[in-house]
Parts: sequence; structure tokens; C-alpha cells
Amino acid sequence: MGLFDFLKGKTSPDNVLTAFADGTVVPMEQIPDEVFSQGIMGTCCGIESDNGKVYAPADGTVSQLTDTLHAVGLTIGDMEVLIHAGVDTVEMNGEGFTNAVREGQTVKKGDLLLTMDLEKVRAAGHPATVILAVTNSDDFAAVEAEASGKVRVGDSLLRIRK
Amino acid sequence: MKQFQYVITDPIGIHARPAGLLVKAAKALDSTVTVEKVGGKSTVATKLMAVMGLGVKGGDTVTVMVEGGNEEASLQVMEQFFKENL
Repeated sequence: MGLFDFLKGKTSPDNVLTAFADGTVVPMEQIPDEVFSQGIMGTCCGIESDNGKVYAPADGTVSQLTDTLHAVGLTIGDMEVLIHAGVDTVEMNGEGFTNAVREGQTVKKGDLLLTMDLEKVRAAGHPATVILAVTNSDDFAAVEAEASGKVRVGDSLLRIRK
Repeated sequence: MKQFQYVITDPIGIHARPAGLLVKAAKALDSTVTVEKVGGKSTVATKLMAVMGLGVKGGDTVTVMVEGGNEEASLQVMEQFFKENL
């Protein structure tokens, strides 16, 4: 946020989402699933995870956990965030996924959300990219990537401008 | 207001992918679209997390309501969407 932003009537600070896995950033347009790469799910960003562990990108509340354990919904301030582990992993019906949270639970930035067994996902023929989508990104002025290449959990990843 | 009911044939139900496609289709209409899981919750069809949060599974019945704008055209688009995707 610039020094003179208050002159433009910008009073609320930007939201920052941090890296939700250790690994390599996959820009939105390179995510191997068109509902994400074309922005249909909202502005998103992927991480090719080194170890399959997925963490909270900011403080928030678990708004939903799919029965198949591969996706977690988070409410973070006025953002609705979907974290989707792997592509088409709904077909695995929970096999290879271990959840660490329950619906309604409050989470802190960096808390473990779920673990994905990378070998099982790849053996089933699915890309293991972990994808974060700001599903209500239309409500914000911009969602901008702040990182590329290798990231560690907690690194700044996306800046959401109001 | 116009509405129809539909029995979900996709065994996985309204998971992330069809929910995203539904939101996209509903946003393109000039009517307000509401989806209700019969015996459960309802939400406007343009909010992705809320649509996923309905927890609609294969075999469930949903009521889809369209209100405002060209309701006849919107209803047709939604009926077509559910038949093709769910």
C-alpha cells in the first residue's frame, strides 16, 4: 500500500494470503484444469506441493469440508476461499487424503488443513497441484500474485485489493 | 418467478467443478437464480462456496427458481445446464 493511498479514499488495508504449501508456484493460467485456469472458480493460484501438506493461508474459519476431504472452504475476513488439493481428486473419494480440521473451526495462518498422499494421487493419474481460489474475487478491485518460483509456507502469495 | 425441480443424476452431486460452471452460467443471466436442496438449504446460484455448501449429492432433488429479467429464457438455460452437467 502506497504512502498516499489515503488520498485516493483507500481506508481499508489490503488482504494478503500466504503460501499454503511448500513448493513451486503455478500461475493461474498454467493450472492444469480449465475451471481454475479460466477463472471460473474465481481468481486463483496453484502450488506444486513438495510434501502434500496444505496449510491455512491466513487466519479464518473453516466454512466447509467436502466429504471427499480433498477440498476445504475458508472464510477469511470478507473473502471466500476454496483450497482444492489436486485436480479431479473428487474421484478418489477421500482415499489418500487426511483432514486436520473440522467445519466451523477457527484456524490461524500456517495451521495444517489437510495432507494429500502425493504418490496415491499421481498413481491415480491426477495432477497433484494444490489450488487456492478466491471464489468471490469479483467483490474486490484486484487479486495480484506476489510470488513465483519456490515458496515456503507463510511467504506472501496473493495480495487482494479492495 | 418460475421454477423447476431436478433430480441429480451425477453420483458425486454438485462438487467444485459443476458448482463453478453453475455460478458462471447463472451470472450470465439477467434473472436471479436460487437453488434449493429439497429438505435442505437454499442459496443464490452466483455464490460458489454457498452452492458447494448445499451438499447436494446424486439422487437429491433440487428446486431451481428464477426471478426477474427474462424468466422464460433463464429457466430454459438452467434446465439445459442441469441436464447436461448434473
